Amino acid sequence: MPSIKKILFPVDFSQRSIGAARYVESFAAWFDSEIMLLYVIDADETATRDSIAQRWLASREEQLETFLADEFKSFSPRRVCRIGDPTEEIVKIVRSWAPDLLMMPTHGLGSFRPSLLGSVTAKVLHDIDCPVWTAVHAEQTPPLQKITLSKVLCAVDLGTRSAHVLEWAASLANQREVDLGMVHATPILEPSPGRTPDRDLTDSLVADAKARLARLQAAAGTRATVFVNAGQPHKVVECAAREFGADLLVIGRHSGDGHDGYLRHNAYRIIRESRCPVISI
Amino acid sequence: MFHLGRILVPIDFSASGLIAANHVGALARHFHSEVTLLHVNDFSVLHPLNGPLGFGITSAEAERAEHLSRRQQQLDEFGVAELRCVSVKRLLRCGDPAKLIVECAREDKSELIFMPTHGHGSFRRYLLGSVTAKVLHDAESPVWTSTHLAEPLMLNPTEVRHVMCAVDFGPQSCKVLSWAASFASEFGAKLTAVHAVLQTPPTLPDRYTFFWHDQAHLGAEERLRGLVLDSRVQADVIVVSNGDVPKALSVAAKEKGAELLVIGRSWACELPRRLGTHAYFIICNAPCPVVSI
Repeated sequence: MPSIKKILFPVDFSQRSIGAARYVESFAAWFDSEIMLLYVIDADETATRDSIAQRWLASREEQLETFLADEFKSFSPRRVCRIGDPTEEIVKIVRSWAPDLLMMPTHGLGSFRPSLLGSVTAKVLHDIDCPVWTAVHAEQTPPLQKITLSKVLCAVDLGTRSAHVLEWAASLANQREVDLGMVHATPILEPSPGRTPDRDLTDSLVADAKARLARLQAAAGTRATVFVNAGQPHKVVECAAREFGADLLVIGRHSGDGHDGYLRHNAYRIIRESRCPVISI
Repeated sequence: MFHLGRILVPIDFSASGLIAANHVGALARHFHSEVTLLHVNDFSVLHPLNGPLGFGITSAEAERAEHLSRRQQQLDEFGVAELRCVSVKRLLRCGDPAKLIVECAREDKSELIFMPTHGHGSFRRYLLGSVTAKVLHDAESPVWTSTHLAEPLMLNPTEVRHVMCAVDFGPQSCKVLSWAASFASEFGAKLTAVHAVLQTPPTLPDRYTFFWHDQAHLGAEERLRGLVLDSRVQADVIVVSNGDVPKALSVAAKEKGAELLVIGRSWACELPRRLGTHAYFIICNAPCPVVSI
């Protein structure tokens, strides 16, 4: 169950880092967490590790010391600087420090490409097991006083990990005494040209899903507002988030039911397109 | 008539770069193409990032110049045997690799960007390399990719005997199918057109199962045959469903022994000419090389 006592916050000094920092500050205040800021000098092993990158270490450490000093002054965060491959260094710190939550924007310094996650974020989501908080367009984060946590929406696919995802989201919502919602997308048959989707079939699938979600809730002891709709998962989730007024989305990230592939493409798309921050577990 | 006048090959001097050069050599000799070998140096660690501190280090400049001159020499010697009898241009650039690859392809009017299998980073089974992903996202020309999964089956492109073309019935489908058919016919290869439908949901009540399968498969098969006819190509037609779309296509390609998979890049994507999420994961999981149009 989440107790967010340690937050790892990889930074790259970009505007997106600065924006994401406001959320880190909010979470640390809500959950009374320790924070670690991590900066990695991206060095290609073969070319520059021992020479030029080393020369940058001192200046980057200095830059890290003063980065967001005001914002984090009441938290006394650890500030760690490393040289190497950003993802690998993040993974090493996750293993040694064991944070409860990793927070990073979906994109870092590079250009924003609408249908791709930033490459470090994508690799981190793939490589590590701990919960990861992400936000798109972090450079547009509202000011601190406007950041809220009042409605947590949990997306479930009714697979083997759904119970775990729901319990995690519920525990988070309970700790902050905020509302919990639950959303599920039922599959939809592609209509052939000239034919509309079969109404009976769609309704039957939705009804069946609602019954399963009710059983899931009963087992978890939750009383979430339920949203079920037929359609593509990322669209159904987005609609529900808007309707519910969600300011945080919780989804599963690793597939637990024997399908190949971490970061299943539904999760990837939701993370990429969500208007509110997403915690993927 | 299929024509491949200019091919761009980004390389990093690794073994996979040589394999790429070898395969491109075969294609280029067949089509009398011009090949551009491009190496991009990424010196990002030397460039001050946004922030209050920024300063130049003059000794770094000297090291950089020396590094570049070594790279130029490596480039001049690279793939000479593999690209024999081919007209080759060798370019060395500095900056962001993906951006420069796309720019170069645009300036050159490349008809194909041939990405090597490996990049510098660690292998992640379910992700594309970051440069490859960005090139796929930004490029305007068709891109040839082969991930690690496809390695055992990496044939010389001119020896491909079975091309599989996956269509989503979107606006690009005709164009994608035509490319696949032209390539296949150039090498006397068989062409199979495939469409993946959603698997019958496990929670579907029994009374609907047959109906679902029927609607999904027959409907799709009908559309696919129509598309093949409209495109005036010769192709076998199959409809598959096995888990999600990327998985279904990967299984189909393996079972049917496809040696090349051709897809549209904006697969199931609302934004035109952008990398659709399906396309990304199809490329990741394919058991053979993929050309995305």
